[in-house]
Amino acid sequence: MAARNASAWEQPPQIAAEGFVAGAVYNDPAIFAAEMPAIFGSSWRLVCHESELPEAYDYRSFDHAGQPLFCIRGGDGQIRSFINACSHRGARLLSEPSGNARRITCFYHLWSYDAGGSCIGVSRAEGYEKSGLDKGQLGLRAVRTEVKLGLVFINMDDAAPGLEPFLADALDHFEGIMSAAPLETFHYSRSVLNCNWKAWQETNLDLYHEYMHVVLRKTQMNAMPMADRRINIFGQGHAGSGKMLASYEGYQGFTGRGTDVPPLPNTDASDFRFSVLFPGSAILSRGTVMRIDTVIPLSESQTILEMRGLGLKGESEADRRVRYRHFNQYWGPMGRNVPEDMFAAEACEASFRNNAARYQIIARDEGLTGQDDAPLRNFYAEWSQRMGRSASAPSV
Amino acid sequence: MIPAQLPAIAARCLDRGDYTGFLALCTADFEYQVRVYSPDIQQDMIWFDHGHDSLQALFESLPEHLLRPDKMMRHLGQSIIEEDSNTLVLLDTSLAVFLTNIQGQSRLWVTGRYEDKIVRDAGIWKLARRVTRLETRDLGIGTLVPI
Repeated sequence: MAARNASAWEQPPQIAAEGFVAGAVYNDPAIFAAEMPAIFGSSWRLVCHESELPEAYDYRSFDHAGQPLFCIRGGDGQIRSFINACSHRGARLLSEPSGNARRITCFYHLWSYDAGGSCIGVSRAEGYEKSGLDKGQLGLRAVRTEVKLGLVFINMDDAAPGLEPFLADALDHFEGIMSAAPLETFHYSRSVLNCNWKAWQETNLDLYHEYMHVVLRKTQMNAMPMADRRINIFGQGHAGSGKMLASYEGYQGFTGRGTDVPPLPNTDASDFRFSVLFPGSAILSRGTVMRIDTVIPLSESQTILEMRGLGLKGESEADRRVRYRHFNQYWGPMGRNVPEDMFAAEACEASFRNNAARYQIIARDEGLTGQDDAPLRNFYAEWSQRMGRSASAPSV
Repeated sequence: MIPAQLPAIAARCLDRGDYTGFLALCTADFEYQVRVYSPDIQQDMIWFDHGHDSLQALFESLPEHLLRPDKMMRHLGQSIIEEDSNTLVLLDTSLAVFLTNIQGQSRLWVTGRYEDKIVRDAGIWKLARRVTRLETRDLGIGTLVPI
């Protein structure tokens, strides 16, 4: 059969339902609204690397599931997180993206809190004596916070399982790299993309799209036989690969990459590995540098993408400059890889937005090698389970 | 050519996609960085770091890459001359880059400053170093083409 008529076009692909995703998953505002509590309200989200909070009382503020939050390192070294709103009138407490605040004082009426979230100051408190208001009941809303391999995760749901069962071995690939020597964040950027948050995450889960990137065609697809690749599927919707090879000699300007700066611990220049965490984070390493990205959904068609670069802490300025170069070659805002992924995510969004595209196909099965779509199917199986509806027919 | 015209001439080359013309305005040891300060991690970051040869390699590779279809127009303010001698000129020039999409709609994309070191090379003024300091930190889908 050649081109399809309108009726045929609207029919789902004639394959098993797990092999395709309906467009409503990307373009339906009601589905987006349902995702916030069902997925983001109860999943662990990666919010930063602990190097971004090196000293006591350092904080990072951020948004999650439509709410302003911040995490802060206490005087005891522990990182805790809170909703970034004063208990008095709800004003945002910390407006800078980062800083240091031993005492967190609201600009509005000067109520103040310590790094443990306790309310420690109420201006002219005697005015509340008749009301019986108890300062001990005015602490900030604490948000569960756990740290794994230096990565700081939060969860809004006090009843959700802990971080370890959530991660389900998905970070084992990075144990040797991230625990052997201190790392630090040296790159941070964020971009508002005109796409659904899942469209970005698909670029992390979809190995088949290596074809789109000339830099991957020349440095990755030919570096090892497809059949020798091993794709790992984890519980909770996570996926990754422990080691794939890259060879940089085939791309002009990349020759010698990895010989000019020490690689990350327990790895080498040719090593490429990744873990994609449900729902919205990905961790990648490419011999000498790491990338961590996280999505912050804004609407069904807009997403903030946070991108971090990590390298060895305390290295020389010369080494850091090389590491920047390695990061930027692929992953920086002016790199050869990530901008193309962004282009692709927005291009798909443009079609799904008005139902020009009805379904996308995720049916490649290469036995967990090569460019298998199993990571995508695993992601959408988790999405379907949490949403209580199938990604292939979400409106039924 | 007077050195204070170089930023505008270089901008016109980049706007037109005349990368050979741009490189002809640069010394053989030209260095180009794009730097951005992040209030999130409180660090000055490098987003782009190329020498003459790696820029040439980048320009040669552009046809193989997916590029945003928008046209860039670099709008420059009056350059401030920071240092001026017979062999060296330092210029600080404000920059705004507008994007025009294929429907003809234009929008402001980034703002920043060019910090240019211009030297007399065999009697001709050339760009020896450019540091572009961006105020804008959200580049949308980014760019492979130097700003």
